[in-house]
Amino acid sequence: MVIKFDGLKSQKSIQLDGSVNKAIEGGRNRLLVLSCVFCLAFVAAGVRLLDVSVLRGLQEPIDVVEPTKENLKIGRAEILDRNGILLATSLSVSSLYADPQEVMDINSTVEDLSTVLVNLEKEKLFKKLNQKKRFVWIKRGITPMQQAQINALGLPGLHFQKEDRRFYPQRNLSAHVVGFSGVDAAGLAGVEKQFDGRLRDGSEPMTLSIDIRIQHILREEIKKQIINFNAIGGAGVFIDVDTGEILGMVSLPDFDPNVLNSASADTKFNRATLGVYEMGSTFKIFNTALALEAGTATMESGYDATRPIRIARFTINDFHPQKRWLSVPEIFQYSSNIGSAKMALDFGPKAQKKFMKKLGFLDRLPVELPEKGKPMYPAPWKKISTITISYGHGIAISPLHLVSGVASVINGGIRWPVTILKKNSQSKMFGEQILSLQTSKDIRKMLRLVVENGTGKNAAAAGYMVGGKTGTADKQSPTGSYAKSSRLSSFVGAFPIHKPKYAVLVMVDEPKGNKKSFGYATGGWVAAPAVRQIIKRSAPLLGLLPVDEVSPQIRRLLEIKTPQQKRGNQLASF
Amino acid sequence: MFLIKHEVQVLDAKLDKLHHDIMTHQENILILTAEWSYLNQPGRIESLARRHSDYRPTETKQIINIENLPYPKKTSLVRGRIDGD
Repeated sequence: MVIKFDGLKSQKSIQLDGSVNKAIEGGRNRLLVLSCVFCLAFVAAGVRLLDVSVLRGLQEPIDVVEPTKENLKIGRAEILDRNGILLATSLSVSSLYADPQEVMDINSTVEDLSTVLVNLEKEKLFKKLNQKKRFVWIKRGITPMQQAQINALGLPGLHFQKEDRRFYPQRNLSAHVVGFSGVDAAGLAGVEKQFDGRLRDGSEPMTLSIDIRIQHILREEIKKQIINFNAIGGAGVFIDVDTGEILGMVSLPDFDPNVLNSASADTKFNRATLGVYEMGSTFKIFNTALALEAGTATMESGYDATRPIRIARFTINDFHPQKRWLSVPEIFQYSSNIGSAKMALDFGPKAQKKFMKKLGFLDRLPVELPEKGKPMYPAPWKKISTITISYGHGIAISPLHLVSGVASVINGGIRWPVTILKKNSQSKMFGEQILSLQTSKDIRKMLRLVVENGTGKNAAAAGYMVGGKTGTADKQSPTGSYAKSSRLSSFVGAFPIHKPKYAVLVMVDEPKGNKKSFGYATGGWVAAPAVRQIIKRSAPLLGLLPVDEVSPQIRRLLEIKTPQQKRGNQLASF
Repeated sequence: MFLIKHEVQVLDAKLDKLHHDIMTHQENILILTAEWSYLNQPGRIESLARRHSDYRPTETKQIINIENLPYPKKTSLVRGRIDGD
């Protein structure tokens, strides 16, 4: 197109009037639409703003959730003793791990680490770091100090991870009761295993019936006797006879649950609950109780203990033969096997088995621990079994069984299930009356007689009215014969016996006689003195006041009418 | 509005810090209670008491019922009062 200069204007204006004008019109329209859209958008934004800031602003924002206390709690619940002393807790510790792919110089890394971690096994670590993995543990649970030192080394490829670790501040003291848990915080023994689920999700601490002070006294006194008599082990239980709460329970040798690697299987074995033993003469408590309860004997009746009993290939003899007629309290006092056997024959095997069942001696205990021994008893229950069981052989039960049985016999005849958990006023208790109150009272008298004038003199803690019974059982060797040299010496005591509140059992495994005990290693020499010490030391802690042992009120409660009472003094402690 | 938003942010940061502090303190409490219990092992206390204190466990004969205490003689009391005057 050829455009002349002056023609341009006219041409343009003409064109403007035509098609250009249309374009402008279109542009305006678009602008209008666009501004409308923008207006709408702004209005919408404004309305929303108003809605958010003014209309909804009146109520509080609801999306902020305050983290509750439970959310902040970490790890497993704590375990406490009955007075709130910490027995087990979870602490968060750092664990060291490595990414072998990131480690540059394995040799120098191992060398440097060994300067900080003392017990490091270098070769093992070297192999670990040579693997083609991306994650290997080096050491779990290191101290903050070590962590700082390792950080200072500045080695590449080493990392830390926070982990929960179980810590047992009372170490050996509560080892068997509390048990232990593994590195991954799973309960493996004791209360830790029994209540694993509850401990895992519960932030509420668990309170046990154990009293750590009693626990300490028990452990110390039994340990002393184990050393004195060169024994292989021992066990002790301290319970409240009116509630069945276990205040103390130890098994020796024991272990430190904080350093499990060095604990042997023997130390981890709970002799008080898992071990079953033929308990010996302490069984005469139950034998006499049953005879009195069944009415086949009374406190005044007597039996001929002149000659040993011969039955099948066995001869039943007495430890300290009196070779005469003995009254029922005397049979108890002198721990006569012959008399006990004759008493048992009067009520017979059926009644005996039934009573053992009632006492809970034929089943595992209902205590809240995974380590519970199953009693061993004869099947079929023959006449000879009845005779041996009358003085505690031929039936094997755990020490906890025994002390629970004694508690039910002396507390008025009610069997409370033994428990490891602290009871409070709201706890429901289900006890079973297994004996009459009168029988229970008679047994108390005889238990006192043993300590005052019989085999248990060494248990007399003056002022605390101790009553009890010694037990010395010959242990069965693997071949089935009884060896005189390996014995189980025990003493089960209760105090104050005129109104029993607590029962204590001390058992020492394979004690050897020493000079101080004139070569004897019997319950009266080994376990009874420990019981005396335990009662003497623990009674003040439990708020028991000593009483006047010869006061007429107490005398009357424990008086036994026997014609031959005065002969009691003949016997030395055995 | 911006002011409020800023305030909220500041408060939020404060809250976070407080939570963090609570966690640290709780962890510290756990560690300290564990240590307290560890240091209070009866065996340890006993040996410390034997070494550093003159107190020994109460003997039975040291405990007496209040009814069994002999009454102080009245006359001496009266005299004491007179002497005091």
